[in-house]
Amino acid sequence: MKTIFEALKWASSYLTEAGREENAAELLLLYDTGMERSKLLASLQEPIGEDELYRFKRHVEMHKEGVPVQYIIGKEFFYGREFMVNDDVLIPRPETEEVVFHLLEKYRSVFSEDGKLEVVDVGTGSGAIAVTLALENQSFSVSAVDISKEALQVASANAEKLGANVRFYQGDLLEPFIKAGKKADIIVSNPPYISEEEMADLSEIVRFHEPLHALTDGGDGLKFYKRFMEDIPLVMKDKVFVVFEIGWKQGAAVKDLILKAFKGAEVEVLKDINGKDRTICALIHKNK
Amino acid sequence: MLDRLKSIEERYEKLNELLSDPEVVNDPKKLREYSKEQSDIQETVDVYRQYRDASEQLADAKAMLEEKLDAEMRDMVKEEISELQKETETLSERLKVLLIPKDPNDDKNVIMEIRGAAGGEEAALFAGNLYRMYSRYAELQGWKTEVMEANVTGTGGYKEIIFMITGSGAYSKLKYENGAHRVQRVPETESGGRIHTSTATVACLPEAEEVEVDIHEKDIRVDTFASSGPGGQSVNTTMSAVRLTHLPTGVVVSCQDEKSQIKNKEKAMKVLRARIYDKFQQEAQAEYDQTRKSAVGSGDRSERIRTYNFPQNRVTDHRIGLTIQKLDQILEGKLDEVVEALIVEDQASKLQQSEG
Repeated sequence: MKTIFEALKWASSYLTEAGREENAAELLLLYDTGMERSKLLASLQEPIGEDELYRFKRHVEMHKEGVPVQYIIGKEFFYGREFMVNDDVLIPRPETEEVVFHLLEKYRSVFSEDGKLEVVDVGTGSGAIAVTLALENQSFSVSAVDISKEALQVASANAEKLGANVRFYQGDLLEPFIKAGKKADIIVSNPPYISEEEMADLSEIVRFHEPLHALTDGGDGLKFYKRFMEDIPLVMKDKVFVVFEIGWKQGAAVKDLILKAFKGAEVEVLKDINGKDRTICALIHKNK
Repeated sequence: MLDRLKSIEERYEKLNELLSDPEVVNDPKKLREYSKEQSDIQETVDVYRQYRDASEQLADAKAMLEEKLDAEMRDMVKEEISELQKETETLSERLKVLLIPKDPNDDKNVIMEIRGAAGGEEAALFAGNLYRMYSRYAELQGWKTEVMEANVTGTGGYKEIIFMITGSGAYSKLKYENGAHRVQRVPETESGGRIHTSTATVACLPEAEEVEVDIHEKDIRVDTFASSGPGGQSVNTTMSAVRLTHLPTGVVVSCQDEKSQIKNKEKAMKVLRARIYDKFQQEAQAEYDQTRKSAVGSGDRSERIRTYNFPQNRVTDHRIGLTIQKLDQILEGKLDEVVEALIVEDQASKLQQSEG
């Protein structure tokens, strides 16, 4: 009979040798035993059940073959909440939590007036950004758009499970807003920003398993930001606060795009916890 | 003592008034503050009132003895007097305990750190036993345990495990665990059947409020697991660990929970704050200890406080000379008997100090 520790030790070294992350084994074991982490760590010397061990081994094998842990266990934490994920959506990244954090910090200096603010999350995927914003700030009226019907199913299931009030629209970027003549106060987006060239360097876990259309534009990685520059004037009121997640070397390029498209825009490039360009915030006023 | 009790009762009445004042009722902060103050002294006031009633009855009964009574009646009154005397004495003892100044940290959540000390792998396995004991105890109390950092050894013990216990009164019950815990048993790897002695140390820190320790963002260096490479969409990492270094004090804290990086950072900040707060408190305590010494106080971290003897199924707390022949149950988290004995001893020694 194997102990939980023995199972964990085997899986950790097996996965590490295959180039996977060390703690993947723990995440899979938590899932297969149904334990909380604090409990698992108090039970290392206990025997593991046969069925549990069988399932665990199968899941370790899947991850070794490249399936992301989060797709196996069907969830990922974002901003302290558990989001359901499957291979129709990009797995939320920790850096994106920071994008949300900056938006929540900075919007106040832009909108001093009371009342609801119309917020739209474009390319919502799992709904992580939209749902978090709706739950973190009561004065936001949140909409979310995605081109993928399957992604919207995941996102709306997350909104329902977490009790967030978000309206979902299927469509290409801001198209559903433009067609309906709706306006937004805040636009947030984490569009696919990896260039075709960079895609080759990605781990197989990302490249062959996560939705390609959520990772790359198939070109220089700036295509969607350029399209936003055309669409934003069609949905903005007198002013709009735009927050984008960007790639680690895109700060200058995206800032440039915004400044060229909107005279007098106030643009700020923020670095993530690891010191990389990650968030761009822009306050755009309607050209007089 | 009676003067103090009287003024506490007056304060209680005043709080009653305040709590029905519309101005207070509409101010959630004040309302919470006053409600808490009132509930903190509720028991003291209740017991004081019982004590006062009993004392009055006692005085009345004594006065009756002065009057002319037949023999039967006299016996009855005498019996009543003796009962009332016992009651007032009991109540007065309770009041003394209630008047002991409360440890301001008692209501706080705690951060516990267990480290395998002398004894190599055996010590690490014992650290694992202790972690299990505290997490089970927390579970039985209805508290929540979250592990922030676990440094697992080759046999499944812990070189170090740091966790947070959240729940009402956590610090009041766990603060006596500070110190060195000793284990005596035959290790599984020992073929000769010899008993080994190993130790693990336990530190129990109260969670510190932001107002108690002011930490500046600029004084903190943040490191993460995935600090090189493009990050963002390009990388799918399950390592959301965050390490914070407080540059002025050199205190380093890591947090690897599974619940998102931004939450790990928040939690690491809590631990950092608690460690720095503890550092200051230890310095203040060292000064204080020169003048007074509490028997079971949460003072010296290296003091050997307890022995867990497996062959005899025995746990001995050296500070109070308490021995319990239920090691198996204690390691399953049934710590109540020990904790209660420690609280009683602590109160007795504080009482002595306040009287002495």
